[in-house]
Amino acid sequence: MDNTTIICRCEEINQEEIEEAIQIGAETFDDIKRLTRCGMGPCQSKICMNLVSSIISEKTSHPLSQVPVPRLRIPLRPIQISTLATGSSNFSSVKSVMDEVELDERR
Amino acid sequence: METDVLIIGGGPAGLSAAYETASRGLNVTIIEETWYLGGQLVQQTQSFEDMPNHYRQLCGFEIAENLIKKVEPFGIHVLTDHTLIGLYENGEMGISNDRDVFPVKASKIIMATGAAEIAVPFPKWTLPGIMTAGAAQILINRDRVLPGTKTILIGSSSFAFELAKQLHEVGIEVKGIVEQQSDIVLQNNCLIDEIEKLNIPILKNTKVIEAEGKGQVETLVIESNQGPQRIDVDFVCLDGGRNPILEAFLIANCSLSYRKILGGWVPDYDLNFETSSEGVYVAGNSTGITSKAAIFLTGSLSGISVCESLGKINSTEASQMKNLFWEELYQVEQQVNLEGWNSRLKHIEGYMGPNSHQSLSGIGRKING
Ligand SMILES: Cc1cc2nc3c(=O)[nH]c(=O)nc-3n(C[C@H](O)[C@H](O)[C@H](O)COP(=O)(O)OP(=O)(O)OC[C@H]3O[C@@H](n4cnc5c(N)ncnc54)[C@H](O)[C@@H]3O)c2cc1C
Ligand code: FES
Repeated sequence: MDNTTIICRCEEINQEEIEEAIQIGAETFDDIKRLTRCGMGPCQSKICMNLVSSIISEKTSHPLSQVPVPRLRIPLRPIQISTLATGSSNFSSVKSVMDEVELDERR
Repeated sequence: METDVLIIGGGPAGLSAAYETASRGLNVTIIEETWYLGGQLVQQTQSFEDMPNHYRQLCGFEIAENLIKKVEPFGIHVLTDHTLIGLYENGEMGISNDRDVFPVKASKIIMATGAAEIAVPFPKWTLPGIMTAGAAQILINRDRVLPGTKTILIGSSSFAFELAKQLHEVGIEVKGIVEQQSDIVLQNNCLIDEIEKLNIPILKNTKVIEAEGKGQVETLVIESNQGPQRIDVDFVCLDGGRNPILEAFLIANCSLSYRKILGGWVPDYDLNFETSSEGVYVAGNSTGITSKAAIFLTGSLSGISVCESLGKINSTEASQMKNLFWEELYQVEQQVNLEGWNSRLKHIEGYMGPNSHQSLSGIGRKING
């Protein structure tokens, strides 16, 4: 591996960018995610999680058992904006939030 | 929607759990992200030794067909093309079919979401044509598409050896299996002989320097004691091992522990395969990756536990059945992966406290003995 090796292919983040984040204090996947977008792509870190954890472990000398996994957020898969906002015949949590907005504010 | 048992994942583990629960009269729903049942077994044309007895002569996709037939009579509600994407505040699961998201209320949930392959990064590993070993297997066996004509494999698990044979069989030139270490560690050393007979070089002490190519991989540069070597390829297979897919467990707030031997982070569970999140059970490769048998047997065990807690079988009968399944798992794993078996018990102990597996009469004694 060299510095240009891509680690997060969804967001095109390379080894160097991850090491830079660690240099300025990142210790967990989530720290790196907030600094670089690493892990925020379509696979939601399924591909890069292990690779990033190994780099963190190597650079910080923390064993892998002390490098926590990223916090995953709902929804786990992309869903249509129409499902979220309107249109859907079924309940969704975000729709219920939208329902609280006054009708004319929505327009 | 309401169901007694909601199973996430219709692979061998999910189907085994479905059989135990549905055959005892529970209302069972399976959520499966792909358009078919059978999970990763569907593209496996090899047979396995580390299997429960009655499956030993069959190859992967035949076992899948068998299991699907076995559950058919029980009227399981199968939702293919449906994915678990979240959890509602009231504990109901959020299921998406790409158009709608709807809640499913279940008395018990069994998560059997399987394992994901781990990539092997090197400069330009994201060039088109470079794929995981499993992806190449899916292409040739499930989709009947050749990913290319000449390849090289990076990593040397038994899966890589199996795949090298399958690629060779369909006429692809396999230019080698690359291993960084000086040793190849396999459960079954016959595979090495078989690969050598096919004149596929096993390149030990060799590392990957980089890939090259315009728009897609054309060359893989590797290096051994004898210096660098450029291999002309049109696709490359990466075998970096597997780890349990955790997303569903994280969404359900299940605690995890790190067990290198089981594949990394694994949800915590007790002897009944119930996680730290009440009413949420785990089965299959999500419980840790040890042997093929474990996939089926942990599915059955979680199913039996769910039946017991929903009052479909009494505790005497349940513990008899559970002991049988544990015993069978022990019989297989003491031969093929004792390390994996011990690590699983450690995992349970780490969560439940020391000696918590002693309640498995007989089997508990064997562990200490
Ligand atoms: C590409 C690949 C190839 C493999 N090939 C081999 C092999 O040749 N030999 C071998 O010994 N082992 C192989 N394995 C290991 C394999 O994991 C096991 O053989 C076995 O299939 C695991 O069974 P399981 O039921 O635990 O998981 P799986 O068979 O993976 O089944 C899990 C199911 O859950 C579904 N799912 C996952 N997440 C969700 C969600 N959020 N919502 C709804 N559904 C979901 C998936 O679509 C899948 O069908 C392979 C694994 C992979 C990833
Ligand atoms: S590879 Fe990092 S989010 Fe997909």
